[in-house]
Amino acid sequence: MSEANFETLPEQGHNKRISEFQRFLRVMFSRWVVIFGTIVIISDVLGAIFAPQLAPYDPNKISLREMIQPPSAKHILGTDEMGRDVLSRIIYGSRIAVTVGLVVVTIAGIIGMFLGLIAGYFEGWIGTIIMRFMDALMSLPPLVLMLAIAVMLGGGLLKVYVALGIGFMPTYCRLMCGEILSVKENDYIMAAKVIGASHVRVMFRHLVPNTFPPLFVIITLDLGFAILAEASLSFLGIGINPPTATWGAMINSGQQYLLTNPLLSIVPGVAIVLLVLAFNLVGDGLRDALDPRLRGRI
Amino acid sequence: MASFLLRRVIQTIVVVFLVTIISFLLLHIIPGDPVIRILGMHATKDQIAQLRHELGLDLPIIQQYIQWIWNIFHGDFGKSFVYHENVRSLIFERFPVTLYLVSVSLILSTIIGIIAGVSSAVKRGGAIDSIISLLANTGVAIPTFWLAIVGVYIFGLKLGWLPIQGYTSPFVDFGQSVKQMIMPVFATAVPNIAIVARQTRSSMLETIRQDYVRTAKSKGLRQRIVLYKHALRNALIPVVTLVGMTLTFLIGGEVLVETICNIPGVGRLLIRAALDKDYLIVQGGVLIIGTAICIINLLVDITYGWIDPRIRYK
Repeated sequence: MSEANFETLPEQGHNKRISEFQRFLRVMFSRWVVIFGTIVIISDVLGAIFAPQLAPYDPNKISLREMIQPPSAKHILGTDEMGRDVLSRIIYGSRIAVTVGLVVVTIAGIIGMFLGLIAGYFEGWIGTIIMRFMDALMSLPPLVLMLAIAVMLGGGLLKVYVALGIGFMPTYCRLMCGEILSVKENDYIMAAKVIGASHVRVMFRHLVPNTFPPLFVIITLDLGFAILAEASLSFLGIGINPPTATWGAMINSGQQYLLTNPLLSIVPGVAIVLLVLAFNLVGDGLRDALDPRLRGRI
Repeated sequence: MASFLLRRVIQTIVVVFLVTIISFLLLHIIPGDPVIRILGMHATKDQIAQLRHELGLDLPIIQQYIQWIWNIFHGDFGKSFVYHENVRSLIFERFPVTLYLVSVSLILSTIIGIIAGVSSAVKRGGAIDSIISLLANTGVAIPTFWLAIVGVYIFGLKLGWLPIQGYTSPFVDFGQSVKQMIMPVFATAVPNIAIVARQTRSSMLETIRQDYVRTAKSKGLRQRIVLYKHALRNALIPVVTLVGMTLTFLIGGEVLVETICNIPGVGRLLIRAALDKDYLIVQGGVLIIGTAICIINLLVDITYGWIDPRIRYK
């Protein structure tokens, strides 16, 4: 009898884990907007990866005989002021958008979380300095701060990544610091310290893994907002590398041809809105699914 | 109240001090020699030495900071390399225009956002809630500059209802001023309405669950009184304290819209300066905007601490 019990125990635990994950998925995808967002993100990522196969033309091929054409069978979204195919440039533009999101969130996440971890774990004067510094960064309009940093560093896509990374960092730092402050109070942290675990071990082995869920939500949302910020800078002509297609720069150059072909500015904007909206919807879905207070309600 | 006031003032001074450090460091993250970047490759040795001395770059870094901040306190933000004018007067001349547009946009978007958020929360799960939530999600996803361009195209070029660019002071020609303002204010307000609506909705839902709301309901008060007198007033606290954050986003949008709609404000100046590598204007702009936002945050917090005693003891 007791033997049978032992054999069923791990099995039960296993089942419970699966159902927990299934519950998460069920809550997450219970609303159609989240499914819509996921589909948009997946198609954008696929579009970025398979751009050479999907784009009907070379995005940088100049054809002066076909300048600013309206949509036609040959060019579904028309052509721009240099006769380049707009659809192909939109597809290639998704490469910059998807990379910007990933790179910026990685930079901001790693630096921000690390500083937040230090501030939350040690508190004291070092924590105060870090957190007040974040307050100072947050009291500057993100766009102005990122613009200033990108320009001072000298432009170029890489510099824009760094500038955006710094601009997005404070959120991670604050959130991480708050999480660490609350997780730190748990008995198991005290236990780990008592048995002689080093600071580094306590931080990375016991604290960090327990802070992730709320950070996932911010990461998802920021993937979208980083795209928006990069589009603003490339719209202003900062960080772009002509002739590389970026959605922000396309909106800018189309601006002069609003009367002849408004699609030049409108289409890249729609691409931005769709992708950023998708990240927002998925981020919200994630938040609902991770929120313990909503458990069992949906 | 006094200790709360003192604490907040000291906190603000610390943050403003750090804002000055950030602005100061901006000039120092320029790779290579900023003087050569400003003067170009063909500058003579004398010119380089002179500008370096003018900018104080020949001093040790701490002394540089002290001298720089000393000059700032005396109103000397340096001279623009492009306009050959004092940076301070360049910025302050344009400040009222930006302040005016940002305030109008802030007030309108806060009011509309709160109304939308409350309607959404009250009808939670219903059709209105879904529509407002989706609109709010879309609102934060729309690039301000794109919205301004689409607005210019539809209402300016196609329908001809609104002027497509420019700015007129309301004291000169009120009608024209309002007409020219509609587009830029609309473009900057939309994302902000979305942010405020989302915040109001979640804060309202949180408040409705509180015990005192249940008590108010169970003692037989009418639904409207419970919602607007008991719930809404408390739900608005996090919304209003969020003003500082929404303000930073509004200014970001304003900077872009001023460029598109050709409005002679600080935003357009900043972007021109950024593109012309007119570093001191960028530095001065960051410093002034950052300090202004810190002070506004302080005022918002003090007002709220004064209205709501709970804030003081947090």
